[in-house]
Amino acid sequence: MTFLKLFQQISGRPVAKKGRTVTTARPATKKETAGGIPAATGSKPASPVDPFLQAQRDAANAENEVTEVSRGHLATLLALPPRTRLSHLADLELTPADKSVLENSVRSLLPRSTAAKLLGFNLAGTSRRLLQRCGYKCMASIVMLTVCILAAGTAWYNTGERVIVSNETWWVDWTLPDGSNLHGGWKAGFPAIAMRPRNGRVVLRYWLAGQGYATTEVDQEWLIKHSFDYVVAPTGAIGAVKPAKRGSL
Amino acid sequence: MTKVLLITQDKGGVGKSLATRGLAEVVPGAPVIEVDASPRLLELGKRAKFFKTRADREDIESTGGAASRSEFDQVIDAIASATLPTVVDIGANTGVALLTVIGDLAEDFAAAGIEFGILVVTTAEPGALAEVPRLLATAAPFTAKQFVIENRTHGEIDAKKLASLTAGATVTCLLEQHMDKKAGPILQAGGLASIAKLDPEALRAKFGTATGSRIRRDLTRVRLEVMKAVRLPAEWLIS
Repeated sequence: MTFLKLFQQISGRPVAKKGRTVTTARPATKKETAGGIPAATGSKPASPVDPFLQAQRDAANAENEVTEVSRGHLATLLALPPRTRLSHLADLELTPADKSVLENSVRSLLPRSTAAKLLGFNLAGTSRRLLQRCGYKCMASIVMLTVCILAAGTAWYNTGERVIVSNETWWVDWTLPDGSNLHGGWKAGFPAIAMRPRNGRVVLRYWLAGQGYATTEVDQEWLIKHSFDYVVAPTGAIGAVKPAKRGSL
Repeated sequence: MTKVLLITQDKGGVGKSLATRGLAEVVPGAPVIEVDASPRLLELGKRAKFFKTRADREDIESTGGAASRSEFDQVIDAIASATLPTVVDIGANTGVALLTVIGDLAEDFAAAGIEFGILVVTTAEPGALAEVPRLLATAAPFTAKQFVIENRTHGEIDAKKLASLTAGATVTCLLEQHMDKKAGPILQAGGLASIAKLDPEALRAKFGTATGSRIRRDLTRVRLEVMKAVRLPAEWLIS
């Protein structure tokens, strides 16, 4: 049942047009005149209009009017030179949609450099687009994959390349796990872990039980000449491979 | 039975009068009774009957039962004489006192063919929320239907909390409204009733085409949103 019908039922007469006038269902009684509920007085009965529907129409009409005014203003602005349009990007007369149209009209005329492209990269925007395209499951997979790649890279970077031994005892400067330095020996036959060479230098790691790694840095060429690969056979036997047979580190 | 909807909230500034104005728009023929320290619904003219009351609740309650009744004698008489669906806007700090008096006279009102409903308006402010269960409980014995409007002008109320405070009541929501700065004073001055009467040409002439049309859009939207928020109470009132 509409408000119009309901109101007609309670008032016994049509609703005032657009709610502009207030009509009453009956003339004021003596009681009301004497201090009871006053009956509102109004003008002539108008054509029946549901006040709720009328309010919806009024709001829609007002919204359309704002849109039309904005479009008219946008058309005027688009005819202006780009430099002048820039000063109207925050024009209050434009609706948000029309502001975007004006902004795009200026942006499309600007040269797009590589730096600008990089600056234009928006992590949040890219993530949002990804979400729109493939949903949260896809996004979760991408995040997991990124985390795995980072973890694998870190592990690879911190893993030694090979275990080596030397046939002689060498005196080197060790950096102990607590950060202190020790001038000590790399004993003959004691296995050390050689990290990946960088700029002709190799970091050797020597495990100190319960403390961590002691490290030292040696020349790559020197290490090739004076060390052997430390090999543990499937049988449990240990051995060493000469530098000539293993190539460079 | 004649239905009377009591709009109340003892915390001020939550939108009671706005809800009353919305009901006055949705149900154009319903008389309005205003119980407050000073008249607010001036735009309703003779349609609204104003009854002055003391603004301070402690002041009312300190007078005791009999004196408290006499404070509201005229209001009670006005409600009892209603023959049309009627809206009663109860001002801040007056709700519990008036509801108590009405509750004491519930049998007399029933005999006079008056059926009550209550509409409590609340925002997220703790002071307003705390009053909701108190007002609903006070009115529960004599009201046939209970409504609550969640006015989000101070933010959204946690749904579980609101549900626990409004058990048994029908809850509707009034979203936060954003208006052009120049629209506010027009709404303050003329209430919702003036919005349908706004002359678009006059608005454009005064504020300029763009601002004038924006003011009209904002005001008509606010009017519609308030009417939506009070639609269910209005349907009960005239059903």
